[in-house]
Amino acid sequence: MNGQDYLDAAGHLARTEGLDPWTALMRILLAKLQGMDLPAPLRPALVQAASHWSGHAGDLLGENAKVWQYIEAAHPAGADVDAPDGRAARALLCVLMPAGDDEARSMTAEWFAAMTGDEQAAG
Amino acid sequence: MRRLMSFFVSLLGSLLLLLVAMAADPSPDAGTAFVSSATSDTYTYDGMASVAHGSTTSSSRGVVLAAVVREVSGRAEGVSARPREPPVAANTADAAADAALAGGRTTGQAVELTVGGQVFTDVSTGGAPRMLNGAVQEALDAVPFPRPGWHGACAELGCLSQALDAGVNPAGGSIRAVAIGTSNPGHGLPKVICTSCSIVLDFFGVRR
Repeated sequence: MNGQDYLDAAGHLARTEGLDPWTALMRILLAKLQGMDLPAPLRPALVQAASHWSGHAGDLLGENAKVWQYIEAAHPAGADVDAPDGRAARALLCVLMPAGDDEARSMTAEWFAAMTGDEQAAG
Repeated sequence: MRRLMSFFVSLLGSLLLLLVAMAADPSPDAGTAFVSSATSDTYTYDGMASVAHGSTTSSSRGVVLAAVVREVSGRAEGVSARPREPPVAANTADAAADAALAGGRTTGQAVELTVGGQVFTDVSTGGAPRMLNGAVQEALDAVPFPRPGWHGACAELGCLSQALDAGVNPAGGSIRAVAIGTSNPGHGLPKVICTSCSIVLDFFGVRR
């Protein structure tokens, strides 16, 4: 899937489930992440994100910071996107942002597609 | 008669050699661009755009050049763990966006930073690593959480790094971003600067 595919899927989910566009996109991205083999240290953040976007508000900001700490500890600055675990972490960060407008949704979908190996990114 | 036959055979052989040589040698422009890219650790959009323009020909050379474009583009995607690329050979964000699109990019952003009469342009990495000027990296590391996944990959940071590397203080400069390809809001249209970059630009005193 490319970024536009994720946005289209989220748009469909938003209409059918009556969700706001950001929550719908988060649920689409979560479904992809839950089918991936994430490194063990990143799994708690995925669990938190899944809980948050299913309606049980969680500490997304705290998990966002923890994932960045993982990235910074594991790789030199900027080099993480060359490594599979770094790309997985960067994809996970997409569902650890509490809200976003049209531009953020577009950027998030394109970046997520790039990090999960589907296409080049916007960022 | 035998001498005449020998002459024609010799002429035919020369023609065949000439045809083989022409088929093996791509156009001069594309050859130059490819060699300059392939023998360097860095890849410029100048080189990529030159090759890409050559690929629009419909001859068999076009097929060869298209393969070269894929090769160069593929390498460009994979090289960015090395030191950052030199300035993009475009003097506006729009030109950099067009060159990137011609080079195979379908999404992303191109940015121009204008300061003291100088212009620095850059394009987003497309998911490849980006090495930044130390001062830019420090400012980026100070951005509060939450940070988006693309934090550190944007072209604004490339422009700032270029300016600082060139000894140019970006304070008082202005910056402008446009979309590449299908990125929101559409190719060549003004693109909103992300929160991470906004904070870094404010730190360096760059106007948006």
